[in-house]
Amino acid sequence: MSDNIELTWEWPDGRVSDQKFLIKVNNVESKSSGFFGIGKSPSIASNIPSPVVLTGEILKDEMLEGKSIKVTLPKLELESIRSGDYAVVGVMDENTCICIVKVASSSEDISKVSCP
Amino acid sequence: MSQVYSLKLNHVGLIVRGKHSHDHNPGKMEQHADCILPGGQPVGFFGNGGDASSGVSGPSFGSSSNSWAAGPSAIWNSKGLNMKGMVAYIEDLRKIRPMYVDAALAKKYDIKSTVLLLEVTKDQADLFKRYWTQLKLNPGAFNILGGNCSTHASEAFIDAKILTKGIPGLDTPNNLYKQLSEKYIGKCQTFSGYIGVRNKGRDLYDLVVE
Repeated sequence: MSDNIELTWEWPDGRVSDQKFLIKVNNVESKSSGFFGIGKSPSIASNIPSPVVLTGEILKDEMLEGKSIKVTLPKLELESIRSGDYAVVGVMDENTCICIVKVASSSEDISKVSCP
Repeated sequence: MSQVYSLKLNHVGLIVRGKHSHDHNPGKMEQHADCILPGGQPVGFFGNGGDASSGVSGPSFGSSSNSWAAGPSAIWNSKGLNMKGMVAYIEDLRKIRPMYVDAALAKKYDIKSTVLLLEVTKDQADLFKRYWTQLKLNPGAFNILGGNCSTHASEAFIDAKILTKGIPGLDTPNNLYKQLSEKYIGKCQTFSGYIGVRNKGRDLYDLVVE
């Protein structure tokens, strides 16, 4: 079974991704607000507005192809990405996702995709 | 249309995120407190995941710990207890809460806030700023009950001798706002709307309200 990789969402604030991955999106769903709604408290850094949980599979990466990826991000940043779509995720500092961009197909040249 | 208010070195303030107006009472899990430092920079205290006593902050990409499995600290964290605390100045807020510093993004995300602004003495302003500087060095734990954003905001006002006692009732941003607005009735300014700041050089900021 593939290992799972969980990424934390941050806004880029002018930063550039260290790595980009092409993924196939397997699922997008709203995040539960958890125990007593703690998952909604804006005083917890990871509790972003209108969170959705995106899971997918990494494609065409020498080291990580086939691994599952999970990131919770604001619905507004997800834009039109749906289950079954392909997307590029930009990652920095090993586990921080700072962008996600929908692409047309699995044959996309991700080096040409603007995902800072 | 945005309104811009010039903040001075003798201004300090409280921002209650999620509070739509002076009279609005947001739900307990719908509010967050930040402070305005002398000169206008926002700063706040957040829970930042991980067990405050373990030094572990979360899963790492490319390590053997990159599992979704939740251990004991994850369970405490899911209850907002004994989480690592962090002090976020503007450079951190731009990464974790850009809608708290940019009024246009606050509008995009529909996050309204209410600001309470006080003019204080230079000594009080210095003490207020020093509290946050020291907390940044040793933020300790975040606990949703009694060790949260409003607890530390309250301590900053007490350290600066702007308040003499803690928040009446539960430590919530709105209760702190009510305490300040009652104590400084007629002596504070309040602003509500989509709130941001605009840098005007060095550590000086204007308050932007849309």
